[in-house]
Amino acid sequence: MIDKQLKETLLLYQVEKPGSEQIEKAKQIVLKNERPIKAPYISAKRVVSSQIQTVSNWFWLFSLMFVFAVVYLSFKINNQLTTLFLCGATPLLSIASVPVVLSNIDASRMELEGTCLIKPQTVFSAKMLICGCFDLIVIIITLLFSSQLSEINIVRSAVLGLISFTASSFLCLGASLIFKTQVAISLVSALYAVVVACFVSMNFLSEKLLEIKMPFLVLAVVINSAMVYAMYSVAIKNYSFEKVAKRFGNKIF
Amino acid sequence: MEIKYSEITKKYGDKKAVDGVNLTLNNGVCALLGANGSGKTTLMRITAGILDATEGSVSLDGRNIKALDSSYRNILGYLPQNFGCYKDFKAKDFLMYMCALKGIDGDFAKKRCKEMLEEVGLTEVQNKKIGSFSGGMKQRLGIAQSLLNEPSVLILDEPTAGLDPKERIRFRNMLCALSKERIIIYATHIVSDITFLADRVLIMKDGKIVADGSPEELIEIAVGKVWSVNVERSELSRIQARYSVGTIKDGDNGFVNVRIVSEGKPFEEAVNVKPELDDVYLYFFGEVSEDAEAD
Amino acid sequence: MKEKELIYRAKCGNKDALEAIIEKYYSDIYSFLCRRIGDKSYAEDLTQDVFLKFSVSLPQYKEQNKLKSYLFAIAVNSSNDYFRRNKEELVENNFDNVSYKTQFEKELEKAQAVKNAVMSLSPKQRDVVILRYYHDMKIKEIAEVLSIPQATVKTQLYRGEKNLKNLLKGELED
Repeated sequence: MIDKQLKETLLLYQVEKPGSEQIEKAKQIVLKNERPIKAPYISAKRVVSSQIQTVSNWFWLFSLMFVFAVVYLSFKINNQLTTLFLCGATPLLSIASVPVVLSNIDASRMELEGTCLIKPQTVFSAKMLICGCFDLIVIIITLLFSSQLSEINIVRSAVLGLISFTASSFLCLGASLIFKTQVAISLVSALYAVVVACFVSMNFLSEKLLEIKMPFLVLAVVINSAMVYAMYSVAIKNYSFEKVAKRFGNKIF
Repeated sequence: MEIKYSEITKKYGDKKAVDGVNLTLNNGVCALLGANGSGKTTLMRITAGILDATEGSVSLDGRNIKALDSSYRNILGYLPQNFGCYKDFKAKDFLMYMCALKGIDGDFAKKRCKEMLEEVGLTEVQNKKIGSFSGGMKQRLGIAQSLLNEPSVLILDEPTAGLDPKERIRFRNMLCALSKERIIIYATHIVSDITFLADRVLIMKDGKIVADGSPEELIEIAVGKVWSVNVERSELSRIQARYSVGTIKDGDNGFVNVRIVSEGKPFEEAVNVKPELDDVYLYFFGEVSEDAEAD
Repeated sequence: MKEKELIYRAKCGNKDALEAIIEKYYSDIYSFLCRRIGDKSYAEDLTQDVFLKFSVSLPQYKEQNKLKSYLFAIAVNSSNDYFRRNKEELVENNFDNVSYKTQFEKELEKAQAVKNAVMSLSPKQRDVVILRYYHDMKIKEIAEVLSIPQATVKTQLYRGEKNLKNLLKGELED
């Protein structure tokens, strides 16, 4: 609270207002001075939220349909094979992610976005994060649900799901570096799902799988995750306008 | 502000798209004139930082643009020759998305998008999908996105391609208003874009800068080399094979008036005429510019 | 134009925006520095310095504080440097000294009396009083500008007001 009487007295002490010349002089000096140009800091949260709007509705739809299909089939199958079946099915989720994550690999779009503050590589990483996190949540929910129906414990279900998920992510990223079309990359993932499904449906193999001790399963998740990261690093390195244009045969010269 | 190119070379295999370019750009509008394949787009891309030069470097106020990285992109506006975008995006959404990529958000982003849409005359179609846009509309949208972050360095590759005359005039007026305290460089092969706009013209041929000066200085190059002569229509094809022929005007009695660019007098009857920028283009490229053909 | 927009444009290198910011805050910063260091010509140089430092640090300015607080904080730091360079000591004064009070009572000009009263406060009290009474800043803003806790601001303000009231008894009664 300001003492009004004191304020009135204090205001007797006035200083001369600066003249317009003085202000102009200051402006000239400041403007002449070389200013360092430095980009503002853009938080990861901002990047991710700007990319969510670019994710096609098909991705969310496909992922939700996946959840319903899996839940329905779990009720139908209703034994410990359910969980193993899901390990085969989870790679199919990455088919939905492939178009989202790889949709930026378009030289003409990269030519424009490559000159923006947020680089295409950052955009690519943000998309991977969005799809990866969403897929992970969906997988964990479906596996937790199915483990209630089967006899495999929750943690083991989750770890088995993670092994499968990381393996398919690694394959998708690797395929994106070899093949050029989203269809081909998605087929790799589907092929993987078929292989796992066959594997799981062979009783003696699936029984062996259920016997593997937890530490080894966790190790498998860690190794797979490291491989995914390595593949991601390679993908990012090849994610420049020139390399993409050359690879996809866009005539840049 | 100053952009300096030091021995910029870009090789694709054995071919040099850009060959040893040394240049300094200051504030103002600079036009890069050249035929298709002369290296303009490659030089634009190197300036924008999306293509790495094989040799040499580009620096802004003494600092290499590669080292500046995001700080350089922060003050950059770029319009490529053909740009891709999410076709399902509405015009307004596309600009908001570009704002997000350029680090502009919130109410200020909405305001900028609204301002830019008005500037390029796309306010009425802001809620239409880009996939449904004509070439000219898409180009205008491209110009709008290049200006969102009030760039200090504006690089435009063939900005008036696909624009009708009215839209071209609007674009020129927009650029005139912007040219204070900014480096603007635009590549074109349309000569009339230069006449009203550029303070400085660079002519690029086979990856090299072959001429550098104001439009008036460039016209000086062609002084004494531009001739007007009436010839028989039947002789036309023979003359075109032998000389650089510019405008051809229909005359009477089976004669046509041709404008020829030649070092020496091509015919007895040829008369020296005052050159124009079109003639300078012809002088360097030996072919008629897109503008002149349209006459 | 809203301040947030001005800041954004200035960060992008828009010179008009930077000029507008200088135009808006020059008087405030100048009068603050005049009162703080008590010397007009040095105050002019320091004010220029404040805006130079502002333009250089602009890219890092993350807008957590209001622009006004940010500029005042730069002014405080710049004038601290000035004091250090000129080896003037910011002395804590003892106001229990009765003879000091008598000296003020002898002053003829009211304004001069007020000026002297303000200048004779301890540096912290002086800063807080100037920002509160001459620039209408809230406690929180003063704390941001001077980089001290709000509690300290309140204490210094209370002491400053008390001392001023003692010093300016004569003027306050008129």
